[in-house]
Amino acid sequence: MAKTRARTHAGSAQPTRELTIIGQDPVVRRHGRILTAKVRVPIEDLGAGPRGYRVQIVDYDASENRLYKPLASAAMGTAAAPVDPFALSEKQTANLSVDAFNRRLLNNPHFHAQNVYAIVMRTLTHFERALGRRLSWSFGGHQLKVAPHAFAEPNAYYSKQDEGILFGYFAGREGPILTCLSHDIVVHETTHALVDGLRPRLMEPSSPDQAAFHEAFADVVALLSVFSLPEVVAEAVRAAARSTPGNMVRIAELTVRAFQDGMLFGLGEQFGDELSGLHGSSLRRSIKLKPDPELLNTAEYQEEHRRGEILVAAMLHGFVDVFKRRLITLGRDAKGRLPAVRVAEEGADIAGRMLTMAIRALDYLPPTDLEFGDFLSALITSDLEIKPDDSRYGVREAMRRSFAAFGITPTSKGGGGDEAGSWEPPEEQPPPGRRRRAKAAPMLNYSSIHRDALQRDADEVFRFLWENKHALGLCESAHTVVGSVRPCLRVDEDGFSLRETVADYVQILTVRAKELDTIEVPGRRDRIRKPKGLSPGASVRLLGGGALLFDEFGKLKYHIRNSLLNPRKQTRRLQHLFDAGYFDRGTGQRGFAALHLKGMRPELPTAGREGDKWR
Amino acid sequence: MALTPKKLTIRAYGVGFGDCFLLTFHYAGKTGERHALIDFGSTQKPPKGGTNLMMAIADDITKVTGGHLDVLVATHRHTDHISGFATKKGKGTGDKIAALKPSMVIQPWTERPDAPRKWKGDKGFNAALTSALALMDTVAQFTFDESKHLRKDLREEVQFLAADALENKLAVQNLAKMGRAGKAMYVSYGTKLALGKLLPGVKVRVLGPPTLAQKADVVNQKATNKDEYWHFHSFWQLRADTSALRKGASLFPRAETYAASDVPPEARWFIGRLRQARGDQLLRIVRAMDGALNNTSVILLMQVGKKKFLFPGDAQWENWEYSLQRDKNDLKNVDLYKVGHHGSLNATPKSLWKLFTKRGNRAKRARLTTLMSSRSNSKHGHRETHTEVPRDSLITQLRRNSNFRSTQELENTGGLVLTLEFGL
Repeated sequence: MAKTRARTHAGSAQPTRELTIIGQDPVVRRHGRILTAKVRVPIEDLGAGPRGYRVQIVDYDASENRLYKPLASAAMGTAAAPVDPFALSEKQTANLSVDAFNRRLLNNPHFHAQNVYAIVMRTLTHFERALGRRLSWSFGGHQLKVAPHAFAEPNAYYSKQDEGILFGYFAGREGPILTCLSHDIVVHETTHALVDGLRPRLMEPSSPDQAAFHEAFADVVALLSVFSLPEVVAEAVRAAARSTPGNMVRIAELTVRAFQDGMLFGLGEQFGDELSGLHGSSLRRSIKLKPDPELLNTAEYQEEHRRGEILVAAMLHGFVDVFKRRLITLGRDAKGRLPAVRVAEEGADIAGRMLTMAIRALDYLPPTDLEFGDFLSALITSDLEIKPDDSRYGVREAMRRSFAAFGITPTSKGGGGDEAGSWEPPEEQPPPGRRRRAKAAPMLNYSSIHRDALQRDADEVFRFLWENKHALGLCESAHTVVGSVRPCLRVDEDGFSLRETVADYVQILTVRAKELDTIEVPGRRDRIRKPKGLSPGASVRLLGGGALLFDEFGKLKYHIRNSLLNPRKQTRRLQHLFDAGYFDRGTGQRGFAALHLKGMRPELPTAGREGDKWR
Repeated sequence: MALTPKKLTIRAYGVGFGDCFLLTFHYAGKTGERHALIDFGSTQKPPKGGTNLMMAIADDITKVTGGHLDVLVATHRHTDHISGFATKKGKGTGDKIAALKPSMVIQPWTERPDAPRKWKGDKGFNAALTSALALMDTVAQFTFDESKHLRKDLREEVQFLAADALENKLAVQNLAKMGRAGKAMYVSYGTKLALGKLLPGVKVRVLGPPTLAQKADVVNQKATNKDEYWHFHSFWQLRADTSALRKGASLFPRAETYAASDVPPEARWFIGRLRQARGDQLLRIVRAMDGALNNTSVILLMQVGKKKFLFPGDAQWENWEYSLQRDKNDLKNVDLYKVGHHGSLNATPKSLWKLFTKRGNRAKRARLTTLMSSRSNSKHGHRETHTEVPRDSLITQLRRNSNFRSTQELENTGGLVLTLEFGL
């Protein structure tokens, strides 16, 4: 037990405290001891549970019908003098046998409660810091409930209707496996909860990419979160450079392959190949995936879980590329070696930077019908906005390279300034002496808009949409809803700040299938086509929407959208949904529990063919 | 001229939620009558079914058959199909059936004690299969026990399905014993049944279940591995092992817990949600188990002259798929269809129903007859989720387009048996 002084975290006004967690999962060990890490989370007046202002741990086991008593809140200290009840000094650690050290972590539900509390709060903090604002859970309440030992079941999932995350446990080769002790699983589920609040429409049935995105993004955040811990990167580096004993590592040994093997160290290992449903194994597969621009078109990668692995692989290859290039620029000794600690710090820094970049990209995504190319454009734009100069790490160039190697090209071909692939700003008034393009969209009209209100008021944003429906290419017949308006203050690690307001809207139009080709698309001759085989009388719901990014003066910087009136994209989406049997089921909304179960191996036994049932 | 039956009487016994059909083939001359019993089980008695209902049915079967059964079919091992075969020290309904000394006992190949017919894979398959069935039994037992914490309606549904899957050892043993005494046939798709002497003039085709090797031939069927077949050995292994984690000891036996009366108010809502979530999971597991066992059902197509009678047990899509790719012509002109799985949403594949050329409105000549054994207000499924059994939309179709008969007709009168006769 150690008292820790509350302190303010770099780049944040929030005072933080330190808590001990498991670095990756219980099989990742150093000298036989489970690898632990210290993380900083916002300090708060914690109740027993722990029970804080955003997260409440309820340690109820529904299989046993037992509610474990939590650690008394006094053991966690006070806001002024916080205590990490599971911290050990070097001497205390040395006095414990390996077995006793590990048992202290594995057999104590109080530590498990702390582990999930700290990781959920750390993930929330990552998101809030990256996006520059408070985030809300999608279910409306303020406190996410978390059950670390929810049931005897090989599954862990976020459940909106239960307002919580449920971690199961199951039989492993050497005893029970507790999903709440796997860092990447906890981050993965927390990310689902956060993205569900930020982008609720991403669970809508749409393209194969969108179906894959939720899982893939949660894996990306999980992996980068794990590797933003220097303790874990140090282990990965040690594993990658096994032949360099001591505290130095030879740079030549840190090949992409060696990094991949090093990163594989422990990831999902606990779950084994035959229990590959939980996220570790899909991360393992992602890391092993060799770049191939044709993968996305193969039948195997049309299935949502497999497809998501490609996005994760593209991010990971980009990370390894940046890491490797960065190390080459650093000074080394005569034998070409660098201190392992320095290498680990660089890796953790890059992972942290990329994590922030990935999270920020969420604000630059269209709210519906997402494709992987949209994510790449969003990544580039979000990073460009706050870090115009990318020369230190070359992250954006590395992302373009690695995504292209997996067949993903940015949706936006042009870009603001010289940056390829970033979203294009809306058309401006042409410079003096130049004429506007003949086919240019009408100019935006701000004349009746209160720019101050535009930065916080959904009705004002709706008015902006209404006054500019032609300029923004909206469908007049559709039901249009502004989802959220969020002012943000983004600060990078160098202190550069960026004020933006992010708003999003969705358009919904429900028509009969036979009416699809009667929907007029201004300026285009083509029409939305009915999927072959779909009954003309079938009800079809078209979705479109956009993200609006306003600068601090209320001027529109970006309109990132998937138009409801895009015949090519809508036709492709409807055909995909028809082929996937969506119209047979009548509903495509599935919960995260089902999504996770579907990805499990061994799979839940099949239950017939939908079209052959008497629904 | 070959001997053929002149008439067929089908007795559908009112077992409630279960199946029990006695087929009597009537022949001219001294051949007289021949009898085939298809299933005898129940998991939920009919509303007016007395405590001695199953014994009364066994007695009636004894009386009708005159003390001898020619053929006995146990389509699959679910309790609602075989509970009546359980023995009880000479006084059970199963003892009565055994006394009828069936000449042939037909069961699916999955019940066969040795390697399945036409199986060309590794020798360990049968052990894996036997083990998968045992694992399901283990999971069913643990699931039954665990569900006691659940809300009443959820608990009843989970326990109803779990109990159906629990191995009925006495019935299983009795079936094997009757098979040894007569002739045991463990059948798969295409098995030739030598019934010429037992049921002269009755052609019987076995349309399911397919063997593992046959299933691998199904278009788009990737699961050729034995563990990924119906029984999903590794799936049930994991669940059985996980269930066993709780056997005897808690996950953290030394940890302090709250007494039920001391649960803090701030945790109660979420605990309720967790219980519901667990209930849903258990329900999904027992339903998966239900489907897996249903898919071991024997599917029999009987033909006398031009008349065809289809008895598919509780087969679902995964079982039907193989036959539907091969036997469309043979299935078209069926005269009687025994409705699969008591009228559930997924045991009468729409692609099968659409094949029947004799379905149609009342004006249809030689109209299809459909016969269902089921119970009103069964504990299987819910109307809100469109999973009720029998399923409303299916029954509407059956009523509209066939001569629909159901053992539910007996519920008002408390009658024992529904009798249908077919001239042949």
